[in-house]
Amino acid sequence: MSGKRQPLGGAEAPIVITGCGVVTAAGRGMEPLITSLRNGHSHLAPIRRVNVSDLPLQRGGEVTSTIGEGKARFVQCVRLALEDAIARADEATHPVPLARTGLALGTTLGLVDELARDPAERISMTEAGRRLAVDSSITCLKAGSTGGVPLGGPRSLFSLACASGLCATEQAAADLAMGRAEAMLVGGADTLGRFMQGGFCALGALAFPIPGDDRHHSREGLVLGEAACSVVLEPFSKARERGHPGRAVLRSQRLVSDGYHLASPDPSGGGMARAISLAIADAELTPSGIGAVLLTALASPLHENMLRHALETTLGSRAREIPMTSHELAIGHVLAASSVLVLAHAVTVLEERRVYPAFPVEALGTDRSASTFTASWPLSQPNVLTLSVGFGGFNGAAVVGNA
Amino acid sequence: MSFRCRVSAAWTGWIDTQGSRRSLVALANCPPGVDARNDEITPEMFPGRWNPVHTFPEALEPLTTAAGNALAWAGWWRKGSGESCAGGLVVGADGGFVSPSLAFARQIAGAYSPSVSPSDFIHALPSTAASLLSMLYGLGDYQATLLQGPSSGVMALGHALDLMAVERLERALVATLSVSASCEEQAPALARVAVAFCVEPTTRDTGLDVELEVGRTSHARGTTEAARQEADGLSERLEPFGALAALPLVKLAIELERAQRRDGQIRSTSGEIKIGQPADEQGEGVFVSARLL
Repeated sequence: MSGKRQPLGGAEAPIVITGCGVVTAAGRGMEPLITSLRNGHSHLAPIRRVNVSDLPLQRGGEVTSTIGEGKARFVQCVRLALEDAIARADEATHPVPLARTGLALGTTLGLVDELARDPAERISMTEAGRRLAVDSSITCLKAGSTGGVPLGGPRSLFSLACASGLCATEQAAADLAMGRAEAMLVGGADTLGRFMQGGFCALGALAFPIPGDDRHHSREGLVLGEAACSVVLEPFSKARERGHPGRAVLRSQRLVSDGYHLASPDPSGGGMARAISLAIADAELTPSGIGAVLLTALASPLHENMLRHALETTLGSRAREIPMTSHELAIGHVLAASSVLVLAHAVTVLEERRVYPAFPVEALGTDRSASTFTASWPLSQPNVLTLSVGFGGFNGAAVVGNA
Repeated sequence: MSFRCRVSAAWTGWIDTQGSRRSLVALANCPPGVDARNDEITPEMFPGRWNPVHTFPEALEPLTTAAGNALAWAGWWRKGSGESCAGGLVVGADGGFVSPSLAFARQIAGAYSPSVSPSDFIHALPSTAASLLSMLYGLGDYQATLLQGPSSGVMALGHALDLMAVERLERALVATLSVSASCEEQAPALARVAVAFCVEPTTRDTGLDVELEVGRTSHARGTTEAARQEADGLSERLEPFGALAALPLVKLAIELERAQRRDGQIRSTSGEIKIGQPADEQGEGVFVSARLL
């Protein structure tokens, strides 16, 4: 059951990434996020949009740019990310054919913050899921034109905690392989509200505040952020037909479950090690072909130790030579956006051929200090391994390479 | 696009508000040594995987039972073995997480207390059903949860079939749990229903070979061509579930079981089972059709 699989996209492989759209606490687009990583700037700050003054941790990475409130907030974040991804993918002789473009979206909790609102205003989760699945304001893009342009391809919505984007990618690749769409938007999004922050506080998964210091928090524990991220996936042949060279190739992806615990990862890293090994093998690479590793779920001691074990098991001595980094250093753990954001981050790393900032595998699970980091590290191989961890035992690995 | 596969097992059942559990239907192709009349799935059956002192989370019942029986009947898992079970898992999530979500929202509505229980938050995640099934049955392959309201069940089956068709998945347990809206009002005739299918390529000796197709339609409302439950009163019993996600798969299981009992006689009558799910507000519905091979 864990053997060789057909490549993502099947007969339509290889699948290329032609556009990325990102909305995070760092701003809109990858550029401000990469600038923050390059300059060592963190956007984690006291949460101001919702009242969390009574919660143990009041810090997070809020999106502050031109986003409204309520359920419109989630939809607006997603929509901005989708619009930006399409705009970048449109940088070709011919635009992305929206009538033949679908959407596969992942979210941990979607519109759950509605549940923490006034009962008279809130909607049920079932209703939230249904609305998200059909929301025309999400699936009707390019609002600048009259009434917008509806996406004509298939739509699906997944929820597999912070690994949700991997399911969306699988469905998108299948839709492309079966000819249901010529391009697919893959997205991941979650917003940060009292329900989400309170839930992670109850789990004891968040960092601790430092008394009298609202600019910093304890090293151990997650700090959450909100974000929406989207990538446009197309068969290379279709992208080339419309004059787009593709920004990167999605060479492989694996998602496996460790079935260890409802709330904790397998400390041995066995599930993640399996995902990494299979993803590298599917990409027809060996560890020597990996130039960088992009990580998520950093600062959670359980996850960092799990990741370290998995990387050392699968990459062997190569693990100590490969630079590692994470967008979370600047914007926190962005939940379901994580597994799509690492793809967008990988595209940037491949294009710039540098990793900002970088730390060695030995730093995982330790109390990292500033001296642990190298400001930038050149990319020695044209393939980036991205790792995503989903609450509840979900482990994802993908390999993104030069187009 | 249709996909030829084998439905190795299907199980569906419900729990009412009084807590009594009843089986609706199951495909009767039990492997040797499996007692089809014994459909109990209990915490003692998972050595090394579940502490038998604890009952299964109420919010996810009878999903664990549906999954366990389908897996056991397909011969993918043995009750009490504690063994891992190879295969993917695709869950259609529809309402099981609503009560825990509301409970957690109530807990944090006032001032936050350190005594707030994380349990309701864990079960507010639609993905927790997949986590639990993975843990109990040792399903260590690909996992996914569809969150598409009334379409979740059919779309979950469609996702699994898609990944099998493109050879990204070798076989899959597809499971869906629906909780009727009236459950929260404490007055339902039928409160929770779950259904589970084991599907795999047509290479085994047991099971029912079918060509399954999942699709979207703009005229799915009322296209329940296989809704022939009058004989045993199932229509009335399924009524409280209205358009919830599990219903099309329950009907599919019922029809497949009937077809199997008739030794494929359905082939000479309608030849095809087609079950629709009502259209959404954009006028788009989903359907699943099955043609016996």
